Amino acid sequence: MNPVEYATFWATVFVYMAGGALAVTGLVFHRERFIDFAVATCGVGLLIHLVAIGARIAHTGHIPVASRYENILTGAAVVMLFNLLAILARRNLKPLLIFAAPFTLLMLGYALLNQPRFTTMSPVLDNLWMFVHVFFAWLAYGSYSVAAAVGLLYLLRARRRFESMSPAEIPGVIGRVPAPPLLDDLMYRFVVFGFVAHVMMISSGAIWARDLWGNYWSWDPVETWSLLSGLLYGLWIHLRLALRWRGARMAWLAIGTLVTVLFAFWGTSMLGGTSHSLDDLSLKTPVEESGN
Amino acid sequence: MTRDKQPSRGRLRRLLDFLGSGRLAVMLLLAASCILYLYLVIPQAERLAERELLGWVERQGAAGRTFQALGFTDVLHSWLFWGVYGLLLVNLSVCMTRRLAVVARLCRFPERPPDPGANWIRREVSVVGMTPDQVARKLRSDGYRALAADRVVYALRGRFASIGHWVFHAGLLAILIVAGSLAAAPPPFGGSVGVGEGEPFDLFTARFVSSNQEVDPEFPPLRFRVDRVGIRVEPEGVKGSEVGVTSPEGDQATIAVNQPYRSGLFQVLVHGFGFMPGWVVVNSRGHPLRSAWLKLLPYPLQGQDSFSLGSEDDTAFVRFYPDHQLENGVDRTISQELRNPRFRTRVVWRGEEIYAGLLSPGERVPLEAGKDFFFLPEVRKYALLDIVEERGQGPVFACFGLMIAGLLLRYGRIRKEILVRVGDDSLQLVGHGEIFEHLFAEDLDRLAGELAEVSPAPGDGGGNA
Ligand code: HEM
Repeated sequence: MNPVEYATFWATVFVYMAGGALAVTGLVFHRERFIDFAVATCGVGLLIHLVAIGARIAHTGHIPVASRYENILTGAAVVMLFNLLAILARRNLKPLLIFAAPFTLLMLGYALLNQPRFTTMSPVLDNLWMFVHVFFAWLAYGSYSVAAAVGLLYLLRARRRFESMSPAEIPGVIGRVPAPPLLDDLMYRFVVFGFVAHVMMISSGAIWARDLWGNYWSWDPVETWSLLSGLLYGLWIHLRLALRWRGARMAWLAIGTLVTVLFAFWGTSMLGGTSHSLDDLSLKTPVEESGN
Repeated sequence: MTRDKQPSRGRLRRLLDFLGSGRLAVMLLLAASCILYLYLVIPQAERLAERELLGWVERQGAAGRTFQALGFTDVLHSWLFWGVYGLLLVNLSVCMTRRLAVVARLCRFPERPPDPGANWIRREVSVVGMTPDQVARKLRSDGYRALAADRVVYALRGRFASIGHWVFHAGLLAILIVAGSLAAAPPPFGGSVGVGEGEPFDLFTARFVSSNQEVDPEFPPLRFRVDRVGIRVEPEGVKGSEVGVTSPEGDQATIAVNQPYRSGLFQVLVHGFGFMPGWVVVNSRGHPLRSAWLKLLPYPLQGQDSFSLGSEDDTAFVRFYPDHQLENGVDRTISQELRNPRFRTRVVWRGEEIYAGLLSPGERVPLEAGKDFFFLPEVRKYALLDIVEERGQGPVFACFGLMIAGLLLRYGRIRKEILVRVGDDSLQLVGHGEIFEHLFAEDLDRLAGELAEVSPAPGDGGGNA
């Protein structure tokens, strides 16, 4: 990291932390103002986050997708962006931040564990299909993260003790979030949006792989995990469409499936032997660190 | 006779219902996910050498042997995989066949307004003096196709949404068939070759194959000439390799990372590249006794910096630095250009280390009391080319296209239906939105509000939804 990126990265972490703390406090102590502050704080956090990304781009001269750290750094911004956009579209979804802020923080923490040193853009990545592939991956994961956050809101809003109460009687902010059936629809909408992007991500990845490896599919661990998460979301969709499952179990499933998806994206290095580590062609030059 | 047949027809129908059901789809999707999970977490025959796999199985004891017996150590070729695969084909085919008539019916705009279903949502708006035409116009401006008949307006949007999931399923079915038949067919031709700079031509006429694949005797030689190998170096590092070739037709082409060369069914790709020092052992009169080229990766991995001079006892360990600099006693390379090439070398001869140091190209290491010499006279660049036979990629991409089109159809414009009964002083709206029913209710509320504002009755204040 260069000094600007270093400073803005840590500023982002602290601002998101403050945003998350405000959101949780607002929710627990029924203070809506706190949640409003949380939204504003996370908005500022996102701006600083974008500056961190910008600083990295300025230093490396390429879009930040050349390493695991860069992918997560950008992915975390997309998650926060999607959640804030959802809140912008529906103000009463603002408690989404109780999920989005800690989740983004976890991502940033995980990013740090993955060596933020500078690498040059491998020629492997220097391809239009790569941009298309990564773009849809961001859309998919951003959208799935909102679905999981809406799932959490659902679980909070649809608690048994609120069943017999009118929204006005429910204490605090939870009374003002959309009614459970609407949350259920919204969760579905985000899953479906993510699923469409997911199919596009897999398709564009296959086209890219054909130029790069000569084969559109090679059962590489990252490919397989992303197919697995696609199947799990397909399963989610069918549980709703074909078995007419609704409500809490779908919310739990939306959260659980997101965990699988994240493992798909970043956890597979533990399994080893993936060409998605991008080291396969040995084309990367580890440039010496200039500060950190 | 008829009495005998009926129960079996009932049973057949029930079987078909099950085979084409969403319930079976759910089970199969779950099973397929489990298979992929097994593939990821259990060592697989296709990823490990047989010995390593057997070692793993033994270490796991009874569990390992059970996994192996069940085919979990080669799950993509197991009965489980092919069973789920076959059932998926059946499930999708039956479901699609049975849904075709329904889907076709849903795509037609009805001639007469249909009866509302029990799950349709109702809203009422107080508006005086609104005509069906005005209502229809408003609905049309909202993207609906509307039919005004008598005092009723029927509006429908997204009527083709219903074919969305049919088209998606068709794409999926097709991809399963194409990919399945490719997987079942004999493996396509594939090979790999390292081409050094300046090496001449006709490299693929020799039918190079990777170690685990059979040579196809029918393989038509791809006679193209490798003219040049270049490693592109930019200030920030290695940016790739370019291999200039002359095709069988005499065309000049460049193969680079992400830029394969295609000829008929074959595709040639740059898979990697690096430097290729040559080493020679000469006798005291300068006659070469042994020599070879070494293919080093730009950033050699452990174990890739040594080579054997002939027997197990005679080994040279060489790490190459294209642009060498010694910094606090540590070797570093400043750039990937061949500006100051050096070899950090250790030579073991007859089991004894006889040299350890930094060699320049051409510098000699005496091996046996001045009799033989070892040296690395020259460094060249090389590229690793893969040759792959393409099979069925066009159809696979077409299937992806179908799947995406299906999803866009299904979710891009969701099916919504509204029936409006136009009364003298009110409008009664009943409607139904597919998939997102409660979001549709919000839509209907908005529409009702807007309809109330279209033509406020004098003195009525616009009505309410
Ligand atoms: C991922 C692999 C998938 C498989 C194996 C699969 C298979 C099936 C099967 C066999 C059915 C039952 C037949 C029927 O009722 O029409 C079904 C239903 C359905 N599928 Fe899929 N499908 C898959 C993905 C999708 C996707 C991505 C969509 C979304 C566009 C979708 C949309 C539907 C719909 C709308 C139904 C009808 C559910 C109902 O009304 O009961 N399917 N699927």
